[in-house]
Amino acid sequence: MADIRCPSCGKNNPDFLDHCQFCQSPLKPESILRAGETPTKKHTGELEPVLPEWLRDLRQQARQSAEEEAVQQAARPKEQKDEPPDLLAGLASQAGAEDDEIPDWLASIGPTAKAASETPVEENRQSLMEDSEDQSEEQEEKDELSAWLSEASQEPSEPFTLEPGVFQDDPDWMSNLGSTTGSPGEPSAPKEEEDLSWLHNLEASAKQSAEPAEPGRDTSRTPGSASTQPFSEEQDLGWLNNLGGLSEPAAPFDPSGRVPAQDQPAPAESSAPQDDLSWLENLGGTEPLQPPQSPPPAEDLSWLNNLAGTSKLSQPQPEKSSSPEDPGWLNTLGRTPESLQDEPAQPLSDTESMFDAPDSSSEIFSPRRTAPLGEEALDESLPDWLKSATEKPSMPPLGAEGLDWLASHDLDRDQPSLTQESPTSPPQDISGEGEPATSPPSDQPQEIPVFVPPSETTPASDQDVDSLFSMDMPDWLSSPEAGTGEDSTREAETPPVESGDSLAPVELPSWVQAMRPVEAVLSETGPGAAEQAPEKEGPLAGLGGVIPLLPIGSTRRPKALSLTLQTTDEQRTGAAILEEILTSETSPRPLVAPASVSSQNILRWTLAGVVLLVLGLMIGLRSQRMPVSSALPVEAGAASNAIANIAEGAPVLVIVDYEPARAAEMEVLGGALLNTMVSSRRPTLSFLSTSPNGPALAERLMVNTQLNNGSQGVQYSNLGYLPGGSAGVLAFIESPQTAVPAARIESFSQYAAVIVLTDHAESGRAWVEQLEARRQTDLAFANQPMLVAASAQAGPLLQPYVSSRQVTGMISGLPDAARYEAVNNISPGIARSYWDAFGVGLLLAIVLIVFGSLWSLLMSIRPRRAGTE
Amino acid sequence: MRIVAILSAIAAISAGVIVLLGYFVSTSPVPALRLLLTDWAIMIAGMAVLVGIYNLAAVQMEKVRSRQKGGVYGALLVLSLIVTFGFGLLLGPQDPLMRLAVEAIILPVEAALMAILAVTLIYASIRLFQRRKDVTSVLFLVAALLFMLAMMPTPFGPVPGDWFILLVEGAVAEGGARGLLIGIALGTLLTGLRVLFGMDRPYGGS
Repeated sequence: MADIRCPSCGKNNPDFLDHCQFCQSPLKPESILRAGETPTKKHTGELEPVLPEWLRDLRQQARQSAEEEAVQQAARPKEQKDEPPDLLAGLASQAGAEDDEIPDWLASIGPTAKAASETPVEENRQSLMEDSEDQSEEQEEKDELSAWLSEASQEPSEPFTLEPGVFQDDPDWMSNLGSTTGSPGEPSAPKEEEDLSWLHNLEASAKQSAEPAEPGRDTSRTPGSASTQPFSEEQDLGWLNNLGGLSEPAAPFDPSGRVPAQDQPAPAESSAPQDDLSWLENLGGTEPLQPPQSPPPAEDLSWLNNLAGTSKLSQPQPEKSSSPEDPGWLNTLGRTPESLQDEPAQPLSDTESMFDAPDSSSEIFSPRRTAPLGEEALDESLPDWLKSATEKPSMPPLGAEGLDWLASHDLDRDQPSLTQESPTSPPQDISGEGEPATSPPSDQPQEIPVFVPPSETTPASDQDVDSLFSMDMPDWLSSPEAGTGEDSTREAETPPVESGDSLAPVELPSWVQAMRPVEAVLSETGPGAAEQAPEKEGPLAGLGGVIPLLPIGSTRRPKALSLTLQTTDEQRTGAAILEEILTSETSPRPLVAPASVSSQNILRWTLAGVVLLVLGLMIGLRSQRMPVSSALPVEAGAASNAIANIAEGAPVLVIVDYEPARAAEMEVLGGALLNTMVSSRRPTLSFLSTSPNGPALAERLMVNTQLNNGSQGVQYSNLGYLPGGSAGVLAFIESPQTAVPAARIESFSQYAAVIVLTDHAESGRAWVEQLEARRQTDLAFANQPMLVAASAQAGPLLQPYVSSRQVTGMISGLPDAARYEAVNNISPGIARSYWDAFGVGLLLAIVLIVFGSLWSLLMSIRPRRAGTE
Repeated sequence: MRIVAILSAIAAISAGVIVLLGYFVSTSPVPALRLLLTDWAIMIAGMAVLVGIYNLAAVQMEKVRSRQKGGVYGALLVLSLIVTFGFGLLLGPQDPLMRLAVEAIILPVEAALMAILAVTLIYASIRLFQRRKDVTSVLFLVAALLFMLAMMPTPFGPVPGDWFILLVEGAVAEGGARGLLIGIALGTLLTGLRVLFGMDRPYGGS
């Protein structure tokens, strides 16, 4: 399928389309009907089978009602109004008739509805000028319409638009119209005008169906106009004409042969689906802006005219104008059938002659015979895509089901009026009043009353038709709020809306209920609160008695609540206690001055004095009466043996690793070992300390043990302080000269023995562990004895190393030192000099602890007994 | 800061791994590296002592400068430090002045503290039953008294059954000491592994 590129928007469209489906611009040059050209008549009645079922039903009802009304009103005389002579009155009435029915919501149709070509406008204008000369009978009425149209033209939302060229030749009323038209460049203006006419004609057709005395106004050009519309939207006029109750067969347009309605079936068919979608959307109320709906009303007028005019509809007047906007056909509205029948002698223009076909087949325009094409013909003519549209309507059928559908779409308030009016006045449904019926799916049911003035709710009559074209009609249009006012008044008259219809009753949340404290007050304000009608608008819609009739508190104030905290006696007691505690916490406590002399201090001083006195006495007396055991401990014996095995003159490393506080004890231990070693083996001593005070303590050791005197001739060297703890020990074991440059040996294994004088288990453990690790990797360290002289405090912690033989021998404490001296006859016997004082001191300590503990126990028992007694 | 922390962790872990491998691997250059790192540790420890002395002197000098309470003692401490450091650096620990400083000042002070400790222990033992009278307190006092009795020389020789007391006390003390040493070893091992794996970063950068 070849595509046609839209010259306006540049988008591709199927070749069977005459207008761009995007911008509604004409795609083909021939589809543009220019000024002076003969419009092409197109038949759209064949698309009627495409219509949904409910619409066809509606059309059928309209036809029937039109026939009935036509028969009833055939005998009624037409009341002619005295209208001032105005050649353009008919035109104004046409425009006014079209515009009268334009509500605001239709006036706001978008630019898509304004898409129209210049040709219809020009044709309308041409036919208008021709018809205006012959319409002297309707001048008065048309003057009113023109005046009204002038007023209506002031409406900014007037969708009636004309091309710029139109204003050059338009008469006054056209200039008024021009003031309301949109921009000249908008091609969619005619389309919107068509919408207006369609809506208007829906109303007018129903009225005219009830008023058969106006055949003259039925120019019967509506079909022709629909067929001659070059736009696809115009082709929908056919089925919309059928909607008005008349359907034009395809045959009437053919006899003349000048109207290629059937010669161009493709455009009509191609445009039909779009139109269908558009009017369906309009029916649904979601998109009333589709322009294709506008042309049919003009055709509706035609079929109504035909209905009224019966055989006299063969007049060529209605065919002069091919477009529904053409106000020329309105010139014939005021004519009688006879007058119209006299006029066919007028020469017809091309446009007029084009619509001769309906004249020759007036019967064809009867509503009954305007049935759609047969299914066979339809199947042949319809394209595949259009056939699919005929299979299943996209909307529910208009009828009982349609109404139900409307009822389900929140049309509760407006639907009753429709349902009540529709059975009693079917023509009104077809007319403008019946607009809601023709477009029930509209989602704007509240706008329906805009088209239903109160005067029109009565059955159609001549007055209705007159009022349609009178100046009074636009009043409600100029003030569309009147309709809403009617609605409001109607609603006011109706009983309150039940909650089940409009607002489903729901259970208010607790917090919402809590926000309604006024209920308690309202119940007390008076009986008016309960009788108050429920709210109709706003968030309180459906709720009654929420807003008090009287000011709250005006009659009775709520009971004042006491702000005093109501507490029980127990709570008050607890609060008092808590307050007292808090007060005591914050209040400063008086400082209790400690007694300068207390029993504890006396006890301390007493203990100190006793110890000092006893020990001083024992030291001062130099008593050596207490015997010393000669039995050496195992580890002490091992140390003595290790010293005996040291080579004479061998270097011996002495580690001084104790604090000055325990210097006396350590010197006793070290003196015993060193004296034995020096006296027997005369080793070369090297003193190394891992404590900063070690070097000084080493010198003191040598002096106090009398090792440095000249008699023994002991050679020693004080290597100083070895920092780094375990790392320093490791470094010294790895490389003595590297760690301590003062070291005279190159390897640690050259030391014949290592004597560790320590009062800390940690320092002794470091030496033991690092040296033992070295022994496991270097066999040279295997025969190197390690002797430990530990204080009584560190001895038990180093005892495991002695038991595991990582330490060759150990002397721990003053008892071992005294025994070692006693066994080895070491002079001067420092340990022996301390032995008696040591024994007395221990005895004193034991006595003090025993008696002191008993006294403390008694002192703690006495208060308990006193308390129990 | 993040980079410094990472570098610190890398350095610490690498040094630990190298020193640890030095105990098990004797191939070069692991032992040399271990010795080098150990020497660095000794020097750093020695400098740490000097830094500590400097910090002590600085704090005391700040007290003197700001005329805080006890500033006079601070001044005296700094002065003694300088004199002792000077004598020790110039004369050495064998010098009689240095020996006099140790025997006249350091030893009596610390010995006096030990003497006070002896009196305090006696006093605390006396008041033990005033504070708490339970089985552990009784056991503690009984064990201390028995051990002192076993060690106590008497004019009549050792206390009868002293060997048994010393045997029991020695066994109990040795068992407790072993438990302490094993716990210390496990703790040291775990701490070392945590440091090697970077879980503990005592050097900062955590």
